[in-house]
Amino acid sequence: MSEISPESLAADEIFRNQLVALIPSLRSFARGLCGGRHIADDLAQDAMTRGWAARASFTPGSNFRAWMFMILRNQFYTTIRKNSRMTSWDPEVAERVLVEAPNQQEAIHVADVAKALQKLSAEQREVLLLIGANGVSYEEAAEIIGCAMGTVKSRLARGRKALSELIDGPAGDLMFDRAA
Amino acid sequence: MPNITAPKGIKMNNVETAFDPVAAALKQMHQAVTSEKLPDDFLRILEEIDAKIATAKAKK
Repeated sequence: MSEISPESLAADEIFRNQLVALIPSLRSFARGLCGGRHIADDLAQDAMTRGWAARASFTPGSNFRAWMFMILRNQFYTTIRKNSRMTSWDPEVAERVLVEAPNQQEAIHVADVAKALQKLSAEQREVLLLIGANGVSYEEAAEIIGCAMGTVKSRLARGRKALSELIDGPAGDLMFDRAA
Repeated sequence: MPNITAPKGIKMNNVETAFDPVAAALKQMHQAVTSEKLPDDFLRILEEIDAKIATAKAKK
């Protein structure tokens, strides 16, 4: 039987604490990818279990969030190949929350955005979720997805345009022109 | 109906922009999930991890 070193135990405890801190973000990313609450939580739990099992391959001090998000998205793509339910939006969580600008001229319902998000391709959706919802950088998103930063930027631009058109029709993409 | 007023100058990927309702909605979706009470299933996974760490400590 191999000895467990104090360093290994300390690393496990650090890993565990990082995992605890990341659970809300893992749930949020999974919810955005899957739509439904229960199936998303299953995905986040699966990612946690897989991450813990693979903790020896994590380099301490490197980007833990990116590493865990990678595990979650890989599992998501593996699962959607087997289960088409993961592309449907769960109406029970589609609250009619209104987000509006201070001048109240540009109001939008969160549920409309959530529904439209589920109609996008998974590749566009994940970029919007990572950057728009979770606040990761282009660089980190590229690391998580495993693609070039230019690809992230183009998927974000196309995703924003498609989302806008789904919500407001083709003219809706004007709202994103201001962000350019 | 809940009504959320976002501050002017919402950030999308660290780029200061005029109010972007879609960016604000994505943030709102994220915040809604992260503020939920953690379901018991997650706590059970953490308990299992803690038990493994405790066992490893005991064997040391």
